[in-house]
Amino acid sequence: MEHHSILYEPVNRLLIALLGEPPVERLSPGTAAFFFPDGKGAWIPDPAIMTLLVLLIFALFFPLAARRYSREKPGAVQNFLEMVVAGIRSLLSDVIGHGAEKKYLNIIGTFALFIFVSNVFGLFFFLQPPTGVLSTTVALALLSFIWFNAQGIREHGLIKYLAHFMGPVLWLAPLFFIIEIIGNFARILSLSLRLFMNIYGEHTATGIFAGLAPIVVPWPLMALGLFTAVLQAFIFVTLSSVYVSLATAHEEY
Amino acid sequence: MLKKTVLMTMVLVAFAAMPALGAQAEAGAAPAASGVKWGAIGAAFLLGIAAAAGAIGQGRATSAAADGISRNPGAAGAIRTMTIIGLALIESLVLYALLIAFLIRGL
Repeated sequence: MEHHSILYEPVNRLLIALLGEPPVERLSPGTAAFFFPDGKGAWIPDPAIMTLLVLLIFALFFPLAARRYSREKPGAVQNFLEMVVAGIRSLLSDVIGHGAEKKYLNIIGTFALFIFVSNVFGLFFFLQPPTGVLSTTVALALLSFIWFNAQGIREHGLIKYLAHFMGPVLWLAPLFFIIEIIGNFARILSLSLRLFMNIYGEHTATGIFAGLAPIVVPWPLMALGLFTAVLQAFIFVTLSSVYVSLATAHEEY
Repeated sequence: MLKKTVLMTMVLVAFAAMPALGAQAEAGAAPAASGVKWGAIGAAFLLGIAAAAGAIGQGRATSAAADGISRNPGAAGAIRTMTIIGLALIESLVLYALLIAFLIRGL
C-alpha cells in the first residue's frame, strides 16, 4: 500500500539529478535502512518531505498573518488565530494554573498547530500525513517527554524530582519507584501510539473507502477524519500539559 | 493502577511481537504446515474483544456525561471537556489492540 504524495517523485528526482544516487553501498545495511529507507530510489522519504512542507506552510503563513496585525480592525485571519491562542491559553490555565500559560504557550502551541496541520494533510488525496508514520509521532512524544521531565527537574532539582517517584510510603519505595518509572516511560508509548494509530487508521480507511466508492461515500469518513485531526491534537497537548503539571506540582498541605 | 498494568502488558506484548517482524521470512513456513492461520484468527478475536470492551466503556462515559449535563446545565463546558478527554483515552486502548492485531495478522 505504498501510496506516495504528489511531491515524492519530483523532489527525489530533482535530488538524484543534482546529487546522484544515494550512497547506499558505502553504509552498513542498518545505517542505510535508517538514512535511506527507500533504498537507492529516494534521498528523502515521503514523511520527511511532508514535514518540510508543513514547515514551509508555517514559514509562509504566519509572518504574513503577523504583518497584517491591526489592533483596531482585526481581519478574519487575525480573529481566528487570536481565538486559537486564547483557547490554548485557557487550556493551560485550566490544567496547570497560575502563570503557566506564559511559560508554556510557545511549546504547547507549537505542538498543537504542528499536529493539527499534519493530521489535516491526511484528508487530501495528494498528500500524506506526516503523523501517519511512527517516526514522526515517536519524535513528538520523545520531545514532549524530554520537555516535561526537564520542566520537573528545573522546578524541583534532580534529586527531589527522582524522589517524586518513590511514592507516599517509604517502605514501599522500591516497588513504587519501578512502577512509576515504567509508567513514566510508558507515556512516550501511549502518546506516540495513540496519535499514530488514529491518523494511520483514519488515512488507510479513507483510502480504502475512496477506492471503493469515490463520489459521496468517503465524505462521512472525511468528516470523521477532520474531527479526529482536531481531537488528537487537543488530546496530545492536554496530556502534555497534565504531565507537566504533575511533574512540577508542589504539594502544599 | 489498572491502566498502568494494561500499559505494561501492552509494552511487553509489543516487544514480544517485535521479533515477528524480523522473522517473517522463516515464519512463513510454520502456518503453511497445518494450513491454519492462527495469526489471523487471533487478530480477529483480539479486535472483536477490544472493540466490545471499548464500546462498553465509552457508552458508560457518554451516559454519565449526559446525566451530568442534564442535572447541571451550567457545568456543560467542563463536563464536555472531560468527556472528550476520557473518550479519547479509552479509544487509545482499543487502538493499542489494533496495533497488535496488525503485528500478528500474518503469522
